[in-house]
Amino acid sequence: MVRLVKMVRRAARTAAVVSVASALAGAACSPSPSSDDQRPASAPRSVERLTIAVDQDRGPLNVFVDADPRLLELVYDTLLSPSPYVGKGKPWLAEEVRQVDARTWEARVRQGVAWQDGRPFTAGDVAFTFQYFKTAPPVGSWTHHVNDVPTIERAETLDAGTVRLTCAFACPDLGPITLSYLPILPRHLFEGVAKPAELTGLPIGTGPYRLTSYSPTSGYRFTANRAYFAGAPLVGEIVMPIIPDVNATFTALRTGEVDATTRSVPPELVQQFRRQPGLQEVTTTPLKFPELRMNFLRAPFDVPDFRRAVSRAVDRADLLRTVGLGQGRPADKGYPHPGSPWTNPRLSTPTDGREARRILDGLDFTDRDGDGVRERPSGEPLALSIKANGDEPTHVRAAELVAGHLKEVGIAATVQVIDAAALKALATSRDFDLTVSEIGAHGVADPTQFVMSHRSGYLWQAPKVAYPEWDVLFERWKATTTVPERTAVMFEMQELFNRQPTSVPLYYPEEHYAFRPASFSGWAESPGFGIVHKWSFLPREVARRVDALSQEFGPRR
Amino acid sequence: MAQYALVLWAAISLNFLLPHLAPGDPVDVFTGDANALNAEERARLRADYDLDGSLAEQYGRSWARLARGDLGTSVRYSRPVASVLADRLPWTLALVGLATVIAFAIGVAAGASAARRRGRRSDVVAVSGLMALDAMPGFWIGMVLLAVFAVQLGWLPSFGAVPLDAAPPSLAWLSEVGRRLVLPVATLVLATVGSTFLLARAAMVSALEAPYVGLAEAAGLSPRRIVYRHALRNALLPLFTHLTLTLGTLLSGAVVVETVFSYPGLGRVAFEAVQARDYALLQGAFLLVTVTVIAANVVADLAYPWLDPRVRRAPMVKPA
Amino acid sequence: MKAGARGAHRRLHLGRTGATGVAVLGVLAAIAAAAPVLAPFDPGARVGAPFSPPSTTHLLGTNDVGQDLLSELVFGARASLAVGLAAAAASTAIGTAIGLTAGYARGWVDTVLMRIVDVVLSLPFLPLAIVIGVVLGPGLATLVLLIAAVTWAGTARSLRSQVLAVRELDHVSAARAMGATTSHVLWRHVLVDVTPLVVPQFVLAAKVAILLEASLSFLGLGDRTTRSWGTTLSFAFERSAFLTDAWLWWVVPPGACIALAVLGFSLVGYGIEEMSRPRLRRRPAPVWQRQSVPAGSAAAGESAPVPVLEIVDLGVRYDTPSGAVLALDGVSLTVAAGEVVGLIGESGSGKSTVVTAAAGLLRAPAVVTHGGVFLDGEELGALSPDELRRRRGTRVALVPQEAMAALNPVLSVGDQVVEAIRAHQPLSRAQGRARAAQLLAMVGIDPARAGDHPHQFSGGMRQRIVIAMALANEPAVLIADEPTTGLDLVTAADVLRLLASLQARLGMAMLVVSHDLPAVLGLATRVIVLEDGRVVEEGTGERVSSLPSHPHTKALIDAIPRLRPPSPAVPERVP
Repeated sequence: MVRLVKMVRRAARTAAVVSVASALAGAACSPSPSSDDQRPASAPRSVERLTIAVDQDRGPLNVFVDADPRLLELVYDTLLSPSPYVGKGKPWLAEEVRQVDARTWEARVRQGVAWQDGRPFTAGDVAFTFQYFKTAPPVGSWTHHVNDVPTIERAETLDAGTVRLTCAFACPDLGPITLSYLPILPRHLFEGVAKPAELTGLPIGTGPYRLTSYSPTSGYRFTANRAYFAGAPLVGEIVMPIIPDVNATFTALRTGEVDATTRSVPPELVQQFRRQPGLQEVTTTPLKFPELRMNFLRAPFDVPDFRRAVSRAVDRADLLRTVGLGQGRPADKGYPHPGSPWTNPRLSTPTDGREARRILDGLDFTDRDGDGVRERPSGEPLALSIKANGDEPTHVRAAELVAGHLKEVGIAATVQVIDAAALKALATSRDFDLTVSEIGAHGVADPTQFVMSHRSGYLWQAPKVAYPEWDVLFERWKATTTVPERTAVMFEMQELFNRQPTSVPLYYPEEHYAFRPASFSGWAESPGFGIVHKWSFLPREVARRVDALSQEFGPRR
Repeated sequence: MAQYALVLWAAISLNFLLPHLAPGDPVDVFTGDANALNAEERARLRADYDLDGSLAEQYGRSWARLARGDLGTSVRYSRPVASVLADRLPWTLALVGLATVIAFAIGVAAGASAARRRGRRSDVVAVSGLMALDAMPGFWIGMVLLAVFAVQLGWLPSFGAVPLDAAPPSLAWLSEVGRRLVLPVATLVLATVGSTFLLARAAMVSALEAPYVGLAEAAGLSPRRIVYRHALRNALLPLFTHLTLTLGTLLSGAVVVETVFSYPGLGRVAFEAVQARDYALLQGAFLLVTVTVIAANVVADLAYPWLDPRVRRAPMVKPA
Repeated sequence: MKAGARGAHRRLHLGRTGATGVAVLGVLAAIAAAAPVLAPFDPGARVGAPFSPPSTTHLLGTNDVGQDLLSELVFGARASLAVGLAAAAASTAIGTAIGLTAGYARGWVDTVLMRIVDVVLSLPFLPLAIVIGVVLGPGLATLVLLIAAVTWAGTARSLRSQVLAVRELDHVSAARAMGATTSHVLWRHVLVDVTPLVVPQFVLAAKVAILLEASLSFLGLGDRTTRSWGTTLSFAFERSAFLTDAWLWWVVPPGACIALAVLGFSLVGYGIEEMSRPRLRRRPAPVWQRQSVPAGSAAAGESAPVPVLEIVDLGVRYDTPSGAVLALDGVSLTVAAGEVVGLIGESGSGKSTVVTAAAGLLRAPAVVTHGGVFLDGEELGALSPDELRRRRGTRVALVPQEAMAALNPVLSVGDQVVEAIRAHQPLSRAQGRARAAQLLAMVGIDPARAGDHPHQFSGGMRQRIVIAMALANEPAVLIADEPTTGLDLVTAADVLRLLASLQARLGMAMLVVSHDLPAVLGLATRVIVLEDGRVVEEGTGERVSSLPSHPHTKALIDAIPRLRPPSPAVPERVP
């Protein structure tokens, strides 16, 4: 029986290889550049090797370093799947999770799963992971999921297969958020490690791929975990060379040196890649946007109505048209991202210059000397600076456009470019009026991060800086014990936020990815992850079972 | 030697001080785009990364680390700085070394022959052509080469240093590494050969005016011999000095080419370390480049007597 | 080109290259100045659709937000040239100040400053620039500052060495001796002398600055909110212009402008260099501008044997940038086989031109206007360069002026002698070495030292080695140009004795050229006196020294210090 399975598998693999070869031959023989060329109908869904360019060298994928989540989740699994951005976690490493009471969750872990080094995966690993994240050095987006919102007090094993997690306050969203987000770590490799960021070995997870080699010169090499509990991955080996330069990345894609890239196609290249023979271009809806942030600790942004005036003044259509080249939607549905299942669909943040002027007049910001620039009540002219990352040309352009929009309503703004690290340091120094930057899925599609951002200083500094309306909502939010209740309060929080925003989305971009369909055709979009993620490399039915896919890209007809 | 110690001290100190003056530190860069950490958590991370305490304390600690031969750990790559650099050094050396040797050889040969023919059409063409080449920004040359040879003609790979489908000791690997060197090396050569040429030509013109050339001419030596044996040997001396002086620039100046061709070199890693405020890595990269430059200078100092017998420490009078 | 313009050129000495550079920079500067007039649009206004290709409205299309690229290019000249010039000015100012201070103060100030310069020069330069750029934050001022910070050291170093040279110039030393204050000397004299040296440094710095601005912008370290060529390029790169057709109108024009500006500065720099070193552009070949003349038309009588060397009515002119100078005006002389002829004249009399012509080494800017040089009856002007070369060393050999400085410093003396032999004789290396040993022994140099280099020998010994080289191929005539200049009296006498004995032993003809009458009288049987390119006196040694017929000869004789009795004592020394 086993032998028969093996034979079938081998035959399938051979067929795959043959089909790759014939597809390549077909692509090579067909000179027709037309978009609907006669590509072989059976473009390969299963291949031996795929080459995908990554944009940054992030070292050997250490969870405790700022690693790319799309690469990390090839190696690690979560208890539930696919991600917080889908709304419901489906069993994954956990066979079943249930909320025992408002503050308690129990998870029954999957049996027979092994770490990539052969050690068995147990409930002890799960309990260890949650405990470890609580005490380990804090890191980027993980820590708050156990230490703040929500706060997990205890993680313990009830028996060899069951883990109990106890929260400090009600945590109905632990399942859909934290348990769908936190990678489960091997206890035998992290136990006793005080500074996990200094671990330099290759990671070991339970995931569909094992990182078998990493070097800054040759990049990452992932090998399929054939024994993966959810089913053997479709691609035998994923090679990821590091190409930091955009031009080089898309040159390599065009020449066929790589089959795909983690980078999205820049808006200005979309037309070109759509016509490019041998390439397929697809459109996705990313959970991210460029935003205009206001320093709410500094006058005049400490005045809620002033912030609303700025939000009204920003011409969202102009930004979408000019900076986003029309690829996306105007950002008139506020913050966070309207594509997230956790976002209030009734939010509305229209552009309205007249309203902005009316608010400013009402706040006694008026142009008393007739130079076209309003003065503050104190008499100083209303002159602000917008800081943006000089490495991001679209951010600089967006800042320039916003400066123009503010000028329309009588606010003078100058654009100042600084480098990325200096921009991030503003979080501590708070030496800014306005910044233009970008925020990704974790920031704009994870509702617990929305709360966290109000506590970390990103959207607000609660409870240090007074915000009574927020505090009331926060207490109500903490008290809710079911997901629908909690979501209802979250929607109220979002309405409050968008009435007096400290961050204004500039436009909701769409993204485009390009790949060589002759090499692999299993690409699909998972919300917040683009097309390069583990679900593209797993059998379709596996991904569908957990609702991981928002779009599937079969071969074009 | 004292001179070199001074250079090292200045390089390390400057490189310690300057990045610390820049706004932002590794922890700021590190905390993700959502800035999800609160102040206490940041403070804890700073302590973890040895970034707490006053600037003077950190400076002292960085020397103490160096004294132990420890370059520290790169925050960005979560690997020891030494191993991050060891991965990059051979590629930079291959790239810059090859380009330097080739540019020097071509520049000197062309400069010598132009000096010999100065005033003639071929000289005018060479001077104006190479001067124009010298005037083009290096990244621009690289971009054009990339567009023509990698994209349009598809003759050569467009990125990286090593092939993705061959392993190190094989011949296939070696030839592929060679192919991937072609465009970056050609770019560096084209970007630097002009200045070498002009310098070589000027040095050759001087040498061709020297008395020994008159003597050689009077002795009826062939023009070829006069140019290449007599004048060139002497003209090489200032060129050699110039080469060793500009080695630091060459080594780090490769960053632009490394960027265009996504070549994993030292210049690029230093550049990325600055952007990530990866102090330890930046310091390590800087130190490595400085040490390499110093080493090259020492080698040059040792090699110079071989080129110029006047500075050899030979006895003035040999026993008969 | 009009004659007037060409004349102006000549006065400026900038040459065509430099003038082209000035013109290029002038045009660019004019574009920068007239930008508001020339640009079709306000470069900050969004006047078209983003990423538009060229059209009649937008000749170079539009950029990523729909601003007119041609206008951006025209206005970009302002920032790019300003950064280049400001950075060059700052770098040159710092470099000059440090270089002058170090060069003039010397002592510990010099030591400290030069140590700093050395350190800065050894530091890896681009990472340093990147770090500084990030610390100061992007901006034009930052660019200027950091370009200056990384380029001043080179200027300082080269200026210091030049100041050291200038310091020793006569008038500066004199001013110091006369008690001029330091600052006065520094400003009046040194600065006046150093300014010509600063200009090329400035030009070089400007060139480097413009290229650096582009490179730093490419790396994202420029200021994207200002409008320079580098910024335009960096936006083009970041917005994938190289992957689409847009590179034709978005990348090529600013790149060409940068290259043009840099080229302009390069050309000016080259022009300045040419100005101080005219040979950089001059053709080295001689120009013969006269009809061939028959040999034997000189005064030599029918009965005289065929002369080995005959110069007939030779006229030579030098064309210099400041005008033509007549060096020889109808000089004729003969040297018969085995005869020793002395050629006497003050410096500037044309002696050296006679030597160069006789050795077949005349070249531009010399122009032979009339007459000719005959070797064994063959006219040198009629020979191909290669035929001429084959006669040098074999028929006519030269011991050049300052012969002790004429050896190649990097080759061993043995090799140089061997080379002279093997240039004309088909000998193996070993045979050549054996012959060289003979020659060295003949001139009194220990052949065991053949492997030594010139600097290991004394001046007199080097003179002998050069003589050995000249004799290597047993020439018919040996020309000794100022054989005793630069030697002390004893060594000079040794060398003269050596020449005399060699001439006697080998029986070759010899032309001894000198301003030193006694030296010539000791060797020559016949003496020719040259003044202002003309032969003014000719006769036997005794006659010329005892009965000079020309006032100039008299003056020459009177100038001889009376260390030894004049004419009567000399003939004894003639072999």
